[in-house]
Amino acid sequence: MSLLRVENLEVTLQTSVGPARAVRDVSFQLERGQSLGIVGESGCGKSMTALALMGLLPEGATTAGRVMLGEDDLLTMPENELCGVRGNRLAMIFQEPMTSLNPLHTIGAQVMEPLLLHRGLHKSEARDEAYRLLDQVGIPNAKSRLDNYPHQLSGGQRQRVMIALALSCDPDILIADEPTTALDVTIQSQILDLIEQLVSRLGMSLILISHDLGVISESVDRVMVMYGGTVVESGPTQSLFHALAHPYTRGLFASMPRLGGKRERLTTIPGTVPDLADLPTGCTFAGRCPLVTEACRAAPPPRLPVADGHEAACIHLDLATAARPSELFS
Amino acid sequence: MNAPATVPVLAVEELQRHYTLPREHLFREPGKVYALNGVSFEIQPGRSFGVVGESGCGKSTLARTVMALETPTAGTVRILGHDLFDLDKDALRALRRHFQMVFQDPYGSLDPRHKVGRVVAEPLTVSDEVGARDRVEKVADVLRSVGLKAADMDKYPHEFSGGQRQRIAIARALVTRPELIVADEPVSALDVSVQAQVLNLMRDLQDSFGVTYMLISHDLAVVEYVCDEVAVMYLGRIVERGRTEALFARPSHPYTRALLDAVPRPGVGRAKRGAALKGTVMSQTALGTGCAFADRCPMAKPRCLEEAPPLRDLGDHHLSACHYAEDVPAG
Repeated sequence: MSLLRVENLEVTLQTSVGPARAVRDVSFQLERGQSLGIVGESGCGKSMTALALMGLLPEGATTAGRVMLGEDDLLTMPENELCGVRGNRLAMIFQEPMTSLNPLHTIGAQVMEPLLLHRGLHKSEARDEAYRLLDQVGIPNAKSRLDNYPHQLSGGQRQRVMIALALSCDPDILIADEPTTALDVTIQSQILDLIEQLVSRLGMSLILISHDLGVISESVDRVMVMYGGTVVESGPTQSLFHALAHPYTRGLFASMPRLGGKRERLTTIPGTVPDLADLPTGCTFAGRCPLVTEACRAAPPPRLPVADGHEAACIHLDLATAARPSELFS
Repeated sequence: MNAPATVPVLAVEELQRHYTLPREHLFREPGKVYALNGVSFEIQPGRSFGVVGESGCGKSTLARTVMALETPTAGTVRILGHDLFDLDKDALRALRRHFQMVFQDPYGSLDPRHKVGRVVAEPLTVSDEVGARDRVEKVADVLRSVGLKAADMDKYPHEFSGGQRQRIAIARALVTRPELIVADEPVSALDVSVQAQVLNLMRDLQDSFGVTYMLISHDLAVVEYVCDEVAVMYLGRIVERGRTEALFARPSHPYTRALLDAVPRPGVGRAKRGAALKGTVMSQTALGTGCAFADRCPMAKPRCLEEAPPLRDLGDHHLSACHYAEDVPAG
């Protein structure tokens, strides 16, 4: 049985302009030891999906569907039970290593907190364990760092502390939401290497969320591309990047400047991401898609197979894959 | 090398900028941040010059000093032959119409209480004697050239998306028809699909108006796409400089090599990352002897710790500040 099974997840947020459907009909499974990447632009619902799993959605948000962690449905679990799951079986790393640590407490106190709460260690044991965790994530002089405050650490080191915190209770699933977006490239590759090593050594599953196709393609087994709150394409990383199928994914990939590229004019997708409070009834990409027809606007497209395990939600897949992206969006 | 016949749009010479930290001890000298430690380069008309580097390398300080928003500790900045820090206030103000800036944050850089027309016209009101009607016409023209409508003049910035706001910021920079536009991370706050629109626009504007760019970015691919020449900065110094294509294809500084290796590339499959660079950037508050990159450099030898490598010419407009530039491995 899968470790995590998400079925038809829906998240609706209350905004000043009415309800916004941030996540629509998202389903996926995560096996033990597997890594899943969620990629998309801002407002595509990738972070809301993660927050829904953690039970950390903003106030007023409503959910539907099921999030099964083993036998338990996290969406219907009462808050006090959820507290036992959060940080314990599910742990999350956030984007901002500057703001996600409490500036008023020492690094030691913050790493020790889950150890005292979830693992019931004594203070001296917790301190030893905190030292071991910081050492494991590659913080130099971990012992003396325990008494430092977050402002005394660099961005990369703070993100290492966040990872140490997330790992403190041996979670089954680690959710990393843009863990390296705020970091420099050389530090980014250190942190991604670290996450990858730890995940494989500790046998955790990983959900990595990023807007960066490069980061995703180098770090995970399976990829889910989201747009306007829905999954437009998903599949094993290699096969997906080998044969991008959905017009959006193809356009997105072609619109990135690439190192060593020919400096040819970049393909652009016209328009901007849709407003979640005012989504079309049919395909969410219809407003920007060059292949759009009446049928696209009428109903959400079904997920169609592209290759083994690789699916795309588009009814014009044959047309989309026949043309080069630059022709498609010209 | 042939001597350029024209006056460079921008000539920066031995630029230094040191900030003094607050005094922490009564009897001790206050510390200093060495943000720029001798930077020199020239940009010829109609070219684009990229500056890349990680946070703390001094690239934004360089941009702000070029814009005369900061006063350098030493060195000169010449725009169209005029030494910026030798001009009086009025002359500098008059010169400003020739160099404009685009900032990173399209949300913070446009005044939310002013209509787009006023935001875009502001450089004109400061530096020009144009009448109100002419001004409206100029604003309409420039809005059209960045792909917006003339009618957008009467809207407020909040009515636009991030990409459109960046277009407004570019229109504002372009309205005085400047020779030089300094763009500090102009697309890093934008989504990938919108980023491409803005990058294409920047290239189109260069083709139609012959504007010269100085582009600051941490994204090597963006710089490669837009710029003819590039300088790689590390701790307030240029460590490598050259033609973009040649420099990225065959870097001659180990830091550039490491930066290129660290960039994740989509589609190459899992974990093809090169060996990650160890450690973080050394302190900006100390000027050591030797090479500033030596403590992280995979190629460092004893000589690197003792002797600072000068930026030396390797031929074909390629400069590198490494004793062992010839030994840097090719990709």
